Order: sequence, then structure tokens, then C-alpha cells
Amino acid sequence: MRATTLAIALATLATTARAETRAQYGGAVQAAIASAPTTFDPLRGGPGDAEVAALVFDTPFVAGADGKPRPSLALALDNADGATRARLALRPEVRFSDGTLLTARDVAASLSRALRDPAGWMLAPIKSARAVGEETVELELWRPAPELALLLATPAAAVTPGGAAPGKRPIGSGPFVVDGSDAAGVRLSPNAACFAGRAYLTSLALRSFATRSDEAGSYEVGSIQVARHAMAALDATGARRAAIAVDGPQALTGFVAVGRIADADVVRRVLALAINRDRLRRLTVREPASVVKAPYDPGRAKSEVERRWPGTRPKLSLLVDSSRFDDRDVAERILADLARAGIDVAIDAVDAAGYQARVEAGRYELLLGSAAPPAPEAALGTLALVAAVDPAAARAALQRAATPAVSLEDTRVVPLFVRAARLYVAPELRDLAIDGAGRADWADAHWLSR
Amino acid sequence: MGRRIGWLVALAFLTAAEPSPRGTLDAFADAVVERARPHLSPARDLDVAVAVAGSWPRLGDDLTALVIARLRALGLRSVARGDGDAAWARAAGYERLLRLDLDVGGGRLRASGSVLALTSSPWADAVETRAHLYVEMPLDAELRAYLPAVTTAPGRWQARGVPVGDVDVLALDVGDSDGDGRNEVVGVTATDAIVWAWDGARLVERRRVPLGGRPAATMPRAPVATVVVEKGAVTARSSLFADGVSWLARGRALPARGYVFPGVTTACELAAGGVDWFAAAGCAPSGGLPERFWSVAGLRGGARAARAAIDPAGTLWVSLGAAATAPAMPLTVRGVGAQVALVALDRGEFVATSEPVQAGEADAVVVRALTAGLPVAYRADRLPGNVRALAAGDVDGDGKAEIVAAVRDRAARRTELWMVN
Repeated sequence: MRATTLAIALATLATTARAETRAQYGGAVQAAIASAPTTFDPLRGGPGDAEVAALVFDTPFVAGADGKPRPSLALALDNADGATRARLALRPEVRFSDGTLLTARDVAASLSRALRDPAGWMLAPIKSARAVGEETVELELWRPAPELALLLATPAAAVTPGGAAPGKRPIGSGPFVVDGSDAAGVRLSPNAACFAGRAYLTSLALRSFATRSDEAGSYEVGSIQVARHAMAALDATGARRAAIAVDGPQALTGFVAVGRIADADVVRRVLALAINRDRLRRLTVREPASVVKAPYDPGRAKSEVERRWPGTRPKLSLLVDSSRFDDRDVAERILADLARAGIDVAIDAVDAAGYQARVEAGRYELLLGSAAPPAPEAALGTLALVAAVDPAAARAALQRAATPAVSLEDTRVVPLFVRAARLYVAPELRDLAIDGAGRADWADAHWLSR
Repeated sequence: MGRRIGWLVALAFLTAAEPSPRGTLDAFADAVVERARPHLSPARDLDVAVAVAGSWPRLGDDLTALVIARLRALGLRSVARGDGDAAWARAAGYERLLRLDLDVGGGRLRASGSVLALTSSPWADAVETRAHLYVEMPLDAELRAYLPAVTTAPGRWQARGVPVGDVDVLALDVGDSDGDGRNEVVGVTATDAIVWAWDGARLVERRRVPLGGRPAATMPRAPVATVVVEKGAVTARSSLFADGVSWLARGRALPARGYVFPGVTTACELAAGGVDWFAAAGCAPSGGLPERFWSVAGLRGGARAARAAIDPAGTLWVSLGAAATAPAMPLTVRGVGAQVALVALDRGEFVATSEPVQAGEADAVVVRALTAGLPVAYRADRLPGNVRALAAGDVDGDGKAEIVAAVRDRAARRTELWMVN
């Protein structure tokens, strides 16, 4: 057996190439967030929470723009071919934002917490993690895992002090620290102790809005400099303030899922046949997006409903996060499509925290959501869809193989479209990028001039 | 009695009819103060710093003095000369910073700037722009006398590029790195030092030394590097690592402390907090350096000890050295890029800077004569990318120095070394 060492040069850290005119430090940004904040726990929450967690916490690896893992907290990963034991060497002298040293014990404890938690399914090939000295973590694996570095770049591998779930004032080693938060937003400032360098902005406020027009209006009057859901409103009124569209990779899958209800299989089949995905994309999701290839046969959907529920119209509720405006639009279209098929759907729009709690508890009849691949790998994208309704199934599949054969037909999930996250950015704000999970990376964002 | 009163009245009329002559620069200073005044209240509670930047030291000095005198007359608690750095002014306890940039164009002297409110309160922004100022006036004989004629010999400038492959060079220097009596170009990326030698038509890679060692505890988000080739020794450092490397001729590379700069006998550390600038306080010796700077270079082989630095606001500071004719105030040019080099050519001494043309477009290399006013002697536009590093030295062995620029086309992942002389 040839021992291969995935010794990843520090060079790969230096991926931020700039023009010779360097970025200026300073300036504040107020921006719309993908969904209202509910938690700082990297294992919990919606897309807005994931964005904040990525700014506050570090992972051993990060996925580069090319989709390849590059070291972040890690210096190297010794992961021999065919071996079921790997060693993770960590950067020395990394500190949390409170000044305490980030050690192998913190990394091992954080990985262990994720291994115990259903939401940590992305680390499924890892059986256990333990610290060996201050700067080395030994990982025992269920199977040889050549994709281990990529898995250690997923949110499940985020490192917290002592592996504890973060509280209201989270401590991390990432480029930002949380100054304060409420139900509508989070205020952040740069972490001067961040090993990867101080973020350029002096302050960053991420907030959600009650309505799309509130968000668009806030952008137009300059209260926010980055909008997420403004396009429809701006199209309607005509943009009065310049904006540049910044798109992430087309990787977010919008789906509707069936809860643990009677006749879930029939409902799933009807959903798959009755929803006109192409019209959904055209009217609500728009570009950049593509529809998931699936037969559209409303007649067959209707006959399935009539056969199972003769003479009655079944009534179902569709759980939607009210802070995700795009989802609310999609829900309206689904409601219309299913009404034609003979199912009456009521939209159950709840706030982000209520939505997350009900999703985790499985308390919904129909669920509208989106799943992002935790790392840029096709198999992980499919598993993320499975995990949206059944994390244990996703964990079991990934524990078996790096690219498990998973058929979504066997799950309660109906994928609808694949889209990219899009931001509308003030033209003077530069180097704001979106990753494959739709999270904005604010660490390199900076104003053109102060 | 009546006669005396008559004389007094006549004298008063005469005085009123012939006011003391006021210069154009006085009027210019009046206009500046008039625009700033509403934003300097309550006057008696404010300590104000005045910073005037421009390429004409005497003009800047005189205007600063006139503005300070007028502000003192307004009853401000204190008014003093400062530099344009808001962080410095705030640290020095000033509540306001009046910052002006002087510029000449279209036959007019223009001053543009701002009144910045500085506070140490945790509840307010550290720096807040209270007003933008703009004053312009036609150049008359008095103002023109401040602007020396360009004395640079026109000469013939040429620029040519040589490809060196896909290497993101962050620092450059030219010198004899192997003791063979001929110069090489040494470029430093985030991870390697690369030695190129001129073979008559192109630059050939001769040696590559990895910059290994302990990783830096903190580093800027975008890596920075420095390199110096001096007396057969090369010293290079990248921000990814805790130490640099140094080697003599073909000897083994050894760890080296600090960041070093061509033509400057100082070693520095990056300022704390993961930022990309150096602090004079972190340099030994620190004399003559701006409080904060991105890059610094000294003149080699010139008649004087000129030195140039670029601060994080993008201002070029040039000290012309200890010659008797050198002005006390450093010359400044705002809006330059991050790279600087000084070069002594047979037709004079020059400072070269990288300069942004427009966001998203290729940069230019601008060469200015090392004389008062820093007149532009040459401008190399249409470069195939961004200027990542600058150096000076005799690359091709013809006995004459060149300015060398590492120009990176990020999209094409290609770097060319451009030689300008």
C-alpha cells in the first residue's frame, strides 16, 4: 500500500490575487441576508445562518473556487490510500476571537459533536476524532475516504471552542466576530486575530426584511448596499440606483418535500407530475437557474388524486420560511399547480426560527426549501437533498461510499430547479463572492475608496 | 481742532482707498477657510490638523501656513500642521483633520479635500467626513512662480516585456545574486524566490528557492512579499511564513528575520492585526519612514540618498535626500498604486510607481523625475495586466539601469517582466 500524504502547500492559501492597487481597509456595509437569523450553530439553521457561521467559524479546509479543498486551519492531511486512519496537522498559533489558542482538542471536540448530531451527516466516513498533542488530530474512519479533505471543508467541520454549541455571542476564529444580533439581523466586525487576515470592512450588518419591496426600497435609498431579493421589485419600479449582479455557482436546489403523512408516496408522485417546473423558473426563480428534468403530466397527476381520493379534494399545508421571499413566490405557483391536480394547499408561512424548528422535528405536511451542497461535489449535492428530510439516511449512504448510488425517487423529496444565489451590489463594493452554498464571502469585500 | 479732524478724516479715506495688497495665495487660503469654517464649530473646543498634499513643496508649505494662520484667527483651540493620515491625527488627539490635495490643470490651481471629524468615542464612527472642499483659481504670475518648469531631459523612453510564465510575482529586485559579476532578476511569489538571468533575448530561470518554515501566526488576506539583492546576498520574505530566507551566492538558504526593501537599510514587520501595511514603529531603524506604508525603496547608485514610500492611502512620499537644495517637506503624489522603485539613469534620477488606470483595467507604470514637482517623465500604458512589483537595476548587462515591472494577466495566468528605460 502506497502511503500518500496529502501535503497541501501553504501556497494554495494565497489565492486572492489583486490588482496592484490594494484593497482599502474601512467602511461599513449593510446587506440583506438570505433568511432571517435564528442561530449561530454551524450545524443548525437556514441559509442566512450558514452565511453568518461561515464568517465566524473556520474549518480545517475550505473549498476553493476550482472546487478543490485547500487548507485553512489545517496544514496538511495525512490520508493514506486505503487506510482507515488519517492525521490532520493544524496550523500553530491560531487563536479564537477571545484570544484563546485554538488547539487540536477544539478541533477533535467539534468534529465529535458533529459526528453525534444528525446535522453532521457530511462527516459520515469519520468514526471518531481525537487530539494527539496540540496540533494533530487523529481521525478513525469507517472506510477509506479519499474525499476526506473536502468533507473537512463542510459546515459540519466548523471549529468552536471546546466543540461546544455557540451561544448568543459566538467565539470563532473566522474573519468576523458577532457584535450583536436580534430576530432581524446580525452585526459583525472584523476579527483582528484572524490568522488569514483582517477583513477589510469595519462593520457588516446583515439583516432580513419583512417584504421584498422593503428590501428593494432600502437598497434604492442607500440604507443597504447589497440586496438579495430586489430584482422583481426593481423590475417593477425601474432601478433608481445602480447595482451590479454577482452570481454564485448554479448549485442551490429548490425542492418540495412530503412530510410523514398518510399516502406520502402518492402525494410525492402527484407533486412530481403536477408542478410545471419550467413555468416556475420563468415566473419566479428566473435566471440564472435551470429546471430539474422530470415529466410534467398534470392530467396523470389529477387522475392519481381522483383514484386515491375519489370525490374529495385532499387538503395539505405547505410550510414556507416567510423570510425567504423567493420561496413564497414559488409556493404560490405550487399552490396553483396542485389546485389544478385536485389538491388544495394552504401556505403555512412561519418565521425563520419556527420554520427551522418544525423542519428539524419533521412537523410539516409539505415543505418548501432549498438545499445547498455542503462542498462542491455532485454526490454531496444529492445527499443534501436527502438530508433535508432524513439526515440519518444521508449519513448511512455516505458512510457506505464516497459516491453512493442514491435515487431521489426513493425519498420524500421532489427537486424543482437548480439556481444560483444572486446579489445586487453597489458598484463601489468590490471582491464580494458567493460560494457554491450561496453564502456571500465578506472577508475580501472592500470599498473601492473611502 | 477742526483742521486736525479734517486731516484724520482724510487719512482714514486714504487708508480705505488703498488696502494693503493681498496675494492670490492669500485669497486661495481665504476661500479654503471660508468653506471649512461652518464645519469647525464649536471653534474653541477643537484641535485641528491641517494637511496639504501636492507635488509642489513650497506651494504646499505656504498654503498650509496661511490656512493655519486663518484658522487660528477663528479662535480654534489649536491648529497645527499634520500629515494626511486620519489614523495618525486621531491618535495624536486632533478632533478635526482638514485635508487638501493640490492639483494643476487647465490653467487653474485646484484644491480638493475634506474636513474629517475624528473621535475616540466607541459610539461613533472613528472618522466621519463632515464636508468636501473644493476651491479653484486661475494661475497667475504669483501661483505660476510656485510651479517650477519641467527640467527633465526628454530622452527616449522604451518599454518591452519578457514572459516568465505563470508566477504571481509579489516583489522584485535586481542584483548579482550569485557572485558572477552579472545581475539577475529575483522575483518572489507567496511561496518561492525565483532567480532569472538575461541570456541576450529572454529571462531564463536559474534557481528557485522555496520560502518554507513556520507559517505566520497571522497574515494579510492578500499576501505581500519583499526581496533585496545586495552584495551577492538575497533576502526574501513572504507574509505566509513567520520567517524569510537569505542566501549568499549559491549557498544554502537560511532563515532571516524581517521584511527588507531595496536601497533602504531597514528591516520591518507587518503591522499587527492581519493588515497589509508596515508600521514605522515596527522597523529598525524607523527614521524617515511614513508612519504606515505599503512599500518603500531607496535610490541606489545615485548622487543622493533619495527615498520613496507609498502609504496605505495610496500617497507617494518622496524624500529627495540630504542635498542642500532639497526641500524640508517630502513631495507627495496622491492616487498612486502600491509599488515603487527609484532608479538612477544617465539622464537623471527617477521614481517609478504603479498606477491604476481604471478599476478592472490594466495598470500603468508612471516615471517621475526626482525634482520638485515630480514631473511625469514617462508613462507606460497598455501593459498586459496589473503591475504586481517594481524594481530597478541593470538587467541586460549594458551598464545602464532599467525599471523592471512584474505585470500579471490574472485571467490568462501569465506574468511578463517589463523593462523600462
